[in-house]
Amino acid sequence: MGREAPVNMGVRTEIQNWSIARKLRRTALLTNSIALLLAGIAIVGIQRVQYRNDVAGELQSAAEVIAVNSSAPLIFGDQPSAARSLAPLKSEARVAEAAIYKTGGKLFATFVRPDIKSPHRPLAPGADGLNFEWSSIRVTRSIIVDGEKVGVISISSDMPDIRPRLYRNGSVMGLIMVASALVALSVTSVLQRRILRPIQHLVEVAGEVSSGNNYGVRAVKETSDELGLLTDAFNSMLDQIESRDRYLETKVAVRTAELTQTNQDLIVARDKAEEGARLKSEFLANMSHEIRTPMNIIIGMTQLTLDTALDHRQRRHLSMVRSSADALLTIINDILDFSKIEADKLDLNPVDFAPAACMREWTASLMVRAQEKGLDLSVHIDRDVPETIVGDPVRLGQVIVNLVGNAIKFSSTGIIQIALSLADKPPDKPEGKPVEDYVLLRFTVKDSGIGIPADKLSTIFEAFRQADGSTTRRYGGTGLGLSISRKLVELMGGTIQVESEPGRGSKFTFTVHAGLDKRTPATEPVAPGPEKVRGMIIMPTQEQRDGLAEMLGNWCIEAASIDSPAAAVEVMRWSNRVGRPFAFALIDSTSAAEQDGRFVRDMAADPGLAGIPLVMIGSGDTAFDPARNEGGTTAFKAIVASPVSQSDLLQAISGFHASTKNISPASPDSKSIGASSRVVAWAGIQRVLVAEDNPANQELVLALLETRIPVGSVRMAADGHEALNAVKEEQFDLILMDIQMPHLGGLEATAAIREFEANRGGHTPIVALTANAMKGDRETYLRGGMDGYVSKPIDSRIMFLEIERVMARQALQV
Amino acid sequence: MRRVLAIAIVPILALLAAPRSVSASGDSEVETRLKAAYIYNFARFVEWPARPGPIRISILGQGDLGAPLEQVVRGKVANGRAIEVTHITSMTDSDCCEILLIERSESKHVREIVQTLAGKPVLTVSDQENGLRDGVMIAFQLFEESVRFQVNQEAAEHAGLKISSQLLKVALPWVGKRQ
Repeated sequence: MGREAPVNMGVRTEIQNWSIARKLRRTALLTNSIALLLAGIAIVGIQRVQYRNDVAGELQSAAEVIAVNSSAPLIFGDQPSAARSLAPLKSEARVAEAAIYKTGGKLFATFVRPDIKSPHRPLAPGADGLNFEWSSIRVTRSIIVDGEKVGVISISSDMPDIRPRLYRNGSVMGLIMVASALVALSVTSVLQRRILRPIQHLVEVAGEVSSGNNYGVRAVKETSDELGLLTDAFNSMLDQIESRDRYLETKVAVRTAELTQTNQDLIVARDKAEEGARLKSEFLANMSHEIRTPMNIIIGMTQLTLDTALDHRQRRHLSMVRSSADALLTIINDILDFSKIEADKLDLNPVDFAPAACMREWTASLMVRAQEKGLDLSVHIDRDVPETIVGDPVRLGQVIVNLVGNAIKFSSTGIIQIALSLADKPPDKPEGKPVEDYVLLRFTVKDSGIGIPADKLSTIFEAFRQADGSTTRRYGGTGLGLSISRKLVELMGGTIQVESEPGRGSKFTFTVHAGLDKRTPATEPVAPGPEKVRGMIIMPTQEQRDGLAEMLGNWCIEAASIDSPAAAVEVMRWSNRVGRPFAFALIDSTSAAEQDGRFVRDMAADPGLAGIPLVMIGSGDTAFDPARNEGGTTAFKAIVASPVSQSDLLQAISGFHASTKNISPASPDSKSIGASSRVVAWAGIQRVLVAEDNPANQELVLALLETRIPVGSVRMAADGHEALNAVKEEQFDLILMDIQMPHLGGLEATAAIREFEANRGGHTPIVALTANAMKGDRETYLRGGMDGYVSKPIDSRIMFLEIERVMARQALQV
Repeated sequence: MRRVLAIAIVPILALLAAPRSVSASGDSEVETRLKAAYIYNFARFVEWPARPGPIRISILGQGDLGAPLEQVVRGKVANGRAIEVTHITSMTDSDCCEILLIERSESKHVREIVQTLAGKPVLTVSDQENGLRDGVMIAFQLFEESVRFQVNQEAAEHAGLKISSQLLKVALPWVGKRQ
């Protein structure tokens, strides 16, 4: 069945694909032929039966005659006579054979038509009656005389003329069939024309409609039959389509007009809105600039005045002006940032940057504030944090400054610990970035301040909220800082969390996504630190040793760490012998006090080791008092309080490097160590070149510098050319270089100076002064040969810190 | 024993046998039985003027046929009429019968007997071959060793009898005395 189906389908499909004309023709021919064929068969059959009956009748009457004629011959046994009685059958053309039997069945006389070649007689006498066979009929009849059966006559016919008769009739039938087929065909073709012409007309009209999309044409109705109805229906359908088309066209036109009007309205509204937004943005930008500039001048000038000789009351008043101005600037910045974030106007500006260097920059001003409050600030950067990452250092710094600023604000004692490490990447990566192309940085800011009550922890990141309404009154601030921080962190693909316990401090942790720049191999973005400088660390615990070694590593100082002072002495002696002496040694107060200060004595006793500066890492009560050392001279060049902050350690180390340049050693008073190193840094500066085209800025920088160095040691250059000429004329200890200057920019001038120095020898530290800071171009400047950078508007404290840092590095390098 | 059987069976067979041949010198009993059967059959093919009653067959004189004839017609009918056989010694009553068998003993008186019956519807049958010359209507003959008969149709017509053409077909042709 499954196999026959396609064939059937094929045939059926083929028939279905016939034209109606063909179908009609075939139908007419088929029905006609079938009818005639059936009629022909019936006629032939009837004729045959009739013929047979005729023959049977003839045979029966012949048998009757013969029965009479043969009764006497039978009775009297006269066979010749009997044969004679059969003789008349010769005239019966249809009789083939005949035979007379006696009652016993014995053949008595026979007759065979002469043309029968092979008679199959004698016929067995059967019962009286007719016996029909396919091509013969036999009549059997008893011969009875006086009620006595004297014999049987049997006559058969081979129906000799039936075939010609049937052939004749058949051919007549065939002729009739052909003739009627022709008639049917002609009738069909007439009908076809009647029926098909309207249909073909409909087909043509429909084709015209569909191909030409012309709904205006109509079919012509010719008859009132079903085709006429179809034509009417078709035409009315076209009418409807046409009227609907017209309706739709007008509708579309109306709607289009409405839509156009709406669009125009919308465009106008959009233009207005865009214009408004643009004006607002411009306004914001202008405002930020307009507000910040005077604020910076207020702050700068206040600071300048504060650095002059003032009486107690003047100083107190000016200090209040200064802190109020700072607070105001912070508030303004916060509000502006917050508006930008709310308006989704804040875009990240990802650049390559070095997290370690940026961390120093971010914490520079914070360190000042921390120190002013007597707080310690420690920064720890894990070694596995990449040296260069891609991110927005400005916004990242904003978060850090905010969190650390809060920590400073809400702490009165202790250490504020800042840590940067890598976090495990979450399984859901930022859109489209392969996992290996970014890292997740985790920043932790931990303080020992007032803490946050548990019930406020969940709300402190919301805008305009502070842990306590009273907080604002006591500590000031807008309450926007944490909200801005959270938005920024989220913008950078991270999260921010806080853990806190009232009275015991808070710990803020946040993560940000940072890209990995594969194109530029990790280079030292900061000016190279002292090479081959080696430091000895002597501490009892591995943790302490590793911490210090890491800090030293940040400055490219190679560290050897050991727990035993005696072993350290041996290592240092051996190093001397191989020609790689240690530059300094760090020892904790406990180790230094071992065996009544044997380490210090051993060091002093050995001429090769006596020159190595020693730094004591002190911790609380167990502090070894170097002042009590025998001989009254201190063996320690510096004492750094434990836990060690990086800045203290750096200042200490750079301090005794300066001291090797015959600068009077700092007082052994540990509390003044920061100040002394600062003094040391400034003491190394005798000539400063300031390249700045703006006279006001020239004035500000000059005024600021002259609070630290003697008047007259600053030389001004109005552009890059002048600066280069000045460098060629005399030796400077420090150059402050504006980036944007006429004729020759800061970067180009720096490049020229570095080229000049390559011939002459030496390296003058160059600190960039730039308003481009917010563009995150720091790395460009550092790579361009500059050593440090200060953003404008100039915050004097930040500028001084940067200068001190650069000078300390310079001292270590020399 | 075997001989006795043969004697018993042969006549029956002979009677039924198709070619009823009897040798001239042969068994006279078969011959007489055949002739007796013929006489009965003559009654079937002859039409007498209407007269009710059985067909009366009178046997005149003494001969071989009387006894077998009586045997043959016993219980038979012809044309729906019963058959009666009587023996007469002399031809006294012309209305004696429908068929008159003239036995050999009367062969000398055939002419007289026929004359007596002139005009009477009586079928005269003679066992003598020349009987027809004497005016008998049917006379037995031996032809090609078979028992046959000849019919004097003219005499029969004179007597008002209709002899069936069937019978005439079977009869040996006879040429009348006029020829």
